[in-house]
Amino acid sequence: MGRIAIIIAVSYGILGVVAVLVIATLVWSSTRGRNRQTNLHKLAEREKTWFGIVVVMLVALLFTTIWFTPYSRSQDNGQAFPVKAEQFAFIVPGRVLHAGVPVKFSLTSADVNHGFAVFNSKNVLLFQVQVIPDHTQNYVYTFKQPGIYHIVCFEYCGVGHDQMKGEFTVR
Amino acid sequence: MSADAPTTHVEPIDEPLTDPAELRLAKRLTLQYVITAQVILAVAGVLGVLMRDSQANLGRLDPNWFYALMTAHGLGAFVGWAGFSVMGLAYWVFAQVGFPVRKFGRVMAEATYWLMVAGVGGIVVSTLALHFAGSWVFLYPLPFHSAGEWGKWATAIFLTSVLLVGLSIVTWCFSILHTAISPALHAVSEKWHNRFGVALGFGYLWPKRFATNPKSVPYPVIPLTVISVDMIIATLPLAVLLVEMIVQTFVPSAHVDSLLAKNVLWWFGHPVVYLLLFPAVAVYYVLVPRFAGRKLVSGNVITVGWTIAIIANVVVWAHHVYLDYPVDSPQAAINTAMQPLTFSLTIVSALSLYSLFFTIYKSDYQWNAAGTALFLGLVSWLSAGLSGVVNATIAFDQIVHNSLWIVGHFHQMALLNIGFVAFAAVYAWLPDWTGHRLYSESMAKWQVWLTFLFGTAQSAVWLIEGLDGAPRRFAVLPGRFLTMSQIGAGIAIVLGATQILFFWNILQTIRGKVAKPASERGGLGVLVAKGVMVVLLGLLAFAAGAAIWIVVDNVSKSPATTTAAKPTTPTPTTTTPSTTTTPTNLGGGDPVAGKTVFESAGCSGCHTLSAAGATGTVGPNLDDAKPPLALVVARVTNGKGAMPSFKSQLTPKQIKDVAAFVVQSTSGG
Repeated sequence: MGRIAIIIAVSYGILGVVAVLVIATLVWSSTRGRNRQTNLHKLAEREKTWFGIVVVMLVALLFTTIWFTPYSRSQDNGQAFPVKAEQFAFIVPGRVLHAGVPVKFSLTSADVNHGFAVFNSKNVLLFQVQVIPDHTQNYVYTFKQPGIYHIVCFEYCGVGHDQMKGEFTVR
Repeated sequence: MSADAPTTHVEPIDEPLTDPAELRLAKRLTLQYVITAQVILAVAGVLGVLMRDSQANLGRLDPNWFYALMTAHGLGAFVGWAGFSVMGLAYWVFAQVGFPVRKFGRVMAEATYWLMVAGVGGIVVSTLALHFAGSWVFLYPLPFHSAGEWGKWATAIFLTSVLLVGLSIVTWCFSILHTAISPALHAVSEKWHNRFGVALGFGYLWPKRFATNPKSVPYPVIPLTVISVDMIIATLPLAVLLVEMIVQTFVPSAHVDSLLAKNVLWWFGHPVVYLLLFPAVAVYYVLVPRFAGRKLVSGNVITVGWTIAIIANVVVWAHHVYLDYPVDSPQAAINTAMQPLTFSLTIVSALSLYSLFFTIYKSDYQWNAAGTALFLGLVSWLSAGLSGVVNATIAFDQIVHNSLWIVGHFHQMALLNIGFVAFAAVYAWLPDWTGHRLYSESMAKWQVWLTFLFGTAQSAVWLIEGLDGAPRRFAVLPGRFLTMSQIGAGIAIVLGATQILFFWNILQTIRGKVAKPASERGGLGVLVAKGVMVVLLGLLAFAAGAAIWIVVDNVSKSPATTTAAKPTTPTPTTTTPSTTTTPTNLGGGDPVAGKTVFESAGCSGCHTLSAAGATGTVGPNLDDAKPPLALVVARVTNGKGAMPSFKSQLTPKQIKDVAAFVVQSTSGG
């Protein structure tokens, strides 16, 4: 699992545990605490507080994650590496890339939408972008480790989709 | 919010229809939609289990079958079951809050039903009989690039069927709007636009401008009105694209920019999720207060949420194309703006969940089958909402996009939230619709709990596989996911079998049967029945475990399905389609006959293939390229670049044979 996947798993797990605790309290309150006096108007009023909490949490999530949006990667420069995707193969230049130097993938499709997902030799997903017909999608990435990297198509592209793979070497 | 908004919540009117004719119509419409939807569930559910089993190597489907089933399952379960169920329930929700369906609304409701039935029927025919496998999002221009697997007519029938489903959604919206904007609103003003504002809940925010007398609009009417406005806006551009695609099927020179088409698809594809959610919320708004024995705990802020929803719902589509940002388009800027807009939509869910959970809090909540289903539906809504926030965050989406995480997320949403609303509504209201008591309350409870447990486990498997890099829409997943897929398949089988309890309960209720309550069956009888049930469940669990163990054991011994360990070649090849993971899958072609075809059709003139003694150098070296079966079939059939099409020279059988020969002689090592 990659770093971002671990962040997702941990935060989803923590929120899940909190949610389960809250829900358990609710169930307990509505099975054991029957006919207890509750101020429904007060609860309805607290909806505003909850609204505020939700807005604050979402704004916080927005401001902590927006910096990791990958869009500037399509603008950067690096070793040119054009890849053509077509049903059901990736056509990659027959040359070796260098570790530590940015690689500029220029991705085009000969037919339908494809996905360009790159995995390292330990099967960790490093990044992915879509390859769309009629357009060129760029993505700049710097490989730190030499090795063989695998490309997997991540957009359904027809009956040979699950066999659409490729690889390239970084030295 | 305006300054003069009341500080305490307004008690909405919640008086059901009393006129027998109006009630009869609402019953008939609801029952018609809901029962048909459950039939679609039965079919779509079986397809889902077959797909899961195939991925787990328990009955491997041919790739075309897998993807055709995937196309039918997606549309069938999502629109034909979950969507159609809640669309029907909307009419009963209206009846519960005193809104009759009037003439125009009825005509539109009938049209909706038949358009939907025709559309779903056409989808079944084009996929299961004619092999259309363009997936249920039919991403332009995939339907026209079938790699020889389906024909023009399959494409045309499929696209026309989806268009019918789209039209069905539009007629439903008209029917709902006509029913909502009615005298039953008790709006002070007669003007339609003022009533429209009242139906959208504006009266809670601006009580003078959108005045009602004697009381405010019932909460359930608000989400129904909001979604009807949004789905008209969302569906019309897709209808135009579908018409273009139908034309393009027969006139290949027609063309649309692929990125534009993708945006149009998701312009519809996102709001359609809320075509399921918002009417489901309306059902929650009616039933949860009833089971809690009190009014919905809600202030005015919830209507702020719904007001946000009207706009936000139709301007968040691009979160489905977060990973498309070609340099020659403004897509990156659009996508960036969509993250906060998508976040704002979660406020509606957060506020609704608050209201519904606190309506239950410290109440005398009835934990019957329907009440339990609603509560568990809310729990699933919460967990699906949280996984949805992950998808909505661009930095996270670049990891989970198109992975099985997404499949886990939307099954939580569609099956465990919307589906549970459908289950709850059937258990709560089938007696009202049929005039018969529910056949068995305890059977219903078993179905609800087992579906929740196994459905949640099923989603958990997908979420974990997704975070581990498993792609969605793979007939055959990479070998390292096999064990997880087998666990998932076991869960899916039990989940599917559990639904027999649901269908049997409906059937028996309609037939007017009543299972004897436990108290009448006597102490010993109950004990025996419970004992048998426990034994049966134990056996089921044992059988599932044993089946998984046997399969895992067999598979781990078979070299064919282990992770394809690639030889590290010193010189990278130009084309690198990988070694196939299933060398035994030759698509029904005969490799021996294929060798003859290879030699006689002139393949050797251009290609190198040692098994045929061919040494041509014009085209790719097949020994190196190791092309997958579907690629060979596609290239031989249609040609590409310098490669001519052999469609007129070779029969489909010969093409399959030659493909089988090439695959067998290159992939086996």
